[in-house]
Amino acid sequence: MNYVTQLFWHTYFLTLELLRQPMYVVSSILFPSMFFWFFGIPNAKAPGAITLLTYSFACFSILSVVLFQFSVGISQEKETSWYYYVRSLPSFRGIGLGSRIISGFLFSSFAIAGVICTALAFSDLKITDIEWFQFLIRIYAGAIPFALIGICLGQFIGSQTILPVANLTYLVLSFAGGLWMPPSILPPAIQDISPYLPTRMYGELLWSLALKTNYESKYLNGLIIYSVIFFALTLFLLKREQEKSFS
Amino acid sequence: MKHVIEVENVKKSYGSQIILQNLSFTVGPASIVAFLGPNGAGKSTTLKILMGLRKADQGLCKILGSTAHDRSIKAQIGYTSQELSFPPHLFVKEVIRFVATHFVEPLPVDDLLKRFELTKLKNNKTGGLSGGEKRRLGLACALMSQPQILILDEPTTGLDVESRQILWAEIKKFKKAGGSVLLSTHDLTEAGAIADQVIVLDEGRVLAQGSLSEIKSRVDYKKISYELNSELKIEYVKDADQFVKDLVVTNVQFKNLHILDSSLEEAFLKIRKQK
Repeated sequence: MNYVTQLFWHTYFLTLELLRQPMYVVSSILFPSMFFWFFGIPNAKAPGAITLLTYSFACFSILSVVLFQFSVGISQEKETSWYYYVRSLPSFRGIGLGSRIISGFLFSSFAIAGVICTALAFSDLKITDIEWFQFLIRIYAGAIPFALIGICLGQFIGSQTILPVANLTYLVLSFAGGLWMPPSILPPAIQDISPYLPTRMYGELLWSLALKTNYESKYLNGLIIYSVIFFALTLFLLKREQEKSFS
Repeated sequence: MKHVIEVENVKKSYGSQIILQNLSFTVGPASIVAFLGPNGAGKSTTLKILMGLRKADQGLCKILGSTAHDRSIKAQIGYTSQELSFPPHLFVKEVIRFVATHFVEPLPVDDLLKRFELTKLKNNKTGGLSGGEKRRLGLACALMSQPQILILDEPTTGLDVESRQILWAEIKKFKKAGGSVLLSTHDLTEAGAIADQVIVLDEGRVLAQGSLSEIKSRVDYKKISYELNSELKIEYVKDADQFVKDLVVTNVQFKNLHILDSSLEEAFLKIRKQK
């Protein structure tokens, strides 16, 4: 059995396991669309506002999977005997994490599709083909640092405390980054720190597309720096986990 | 191959706590070896080191001439851990299929389900299985690759009699087909029922190793039971003949006298006291 086939089967069974958990499906896929329907669409009164809000809620929806669910899933999984049992099977290195990332990509896609479909059904959202393409590139590429943050949290924090920590990180970053309301109406203290948060940088990446303005390079550089830092931290924590659990 | 498992001078500590001290033993082909010892004796740690789930601080651990870090060797080993958990929302048949995807020539899923009386449960989520059903599923997964070696950590803990019989029958069948089994247990009945060899482990050291009869023979006491005034008496003595002679001389009215070898349990307790 080669790496790709094994990765496919790990991803398939992990996705099946997650799909059968109603709370996971509701919180990952349905909640962002519902929030958007309740709080986003009614506030999209100004011209072009619906595009901005659609993109913001799409960011929010992808965060719910890669940041929140990665951290909780990884933290809880590594404390089960199943995790160790799978390690006793002749599987390739990194298959477990790889399957979780691919599965997260699938769930993120469903979540984004939910937000987009809600916008198309209940508003006059209009996006050209090229904008669709740019939107997809930006939203997936911009999610990389958050996936890495999610993996780091999952590796670092135990299963007993991961839920409140992940919730706090996810909600605070979303709010302070301006994904729920425009950064200009955030409290002044939060406005000061907002530009340094990865969620704000992520939002700016998408908002510039909606506003058809140039994306400021400082935000892109910021996202790259966050990615590099958390990639290094991920490698360190994975090594630490390997030494802690299998030594 | 003379030995399928070779463990030589293995040491393992967690911080200042010593778990294994110069542990050495071997397992031959087509044999069942039971690791016997109280909780904390180092049984599970030894099995985890063999499976590559823990690292020895020192010493040599070989399975089929290599280590369990080698993927081709892993395919030759079936393993069940002491605590069993499965993804709770997957069906029984899906867990078996998942395990099957790791092997080149896995056994047919339906055959395994039938062998372990899991056919009726195949569409049940594993989260709802009883302890015994989980154990049967664990062993079914362990046998999936038609391995040469089974490493089972307390395979019958918490099992009902029926499930225990199914497991023992499968383990014996596996051995008959040429497989080797290393299992840990603190159930002396289990060790006595299925093992060819017993390794008595305590505080990370081998206290005794040998066949069941060899282990029992280390206890030089005989168990004598008899009825005296309608009351059952049990005595443990070194010289049974002398004891009976003395009993006859005293002229007491006894009946139903039996002289028995010590049980494995008695041998185990004695060996632990002797250490």
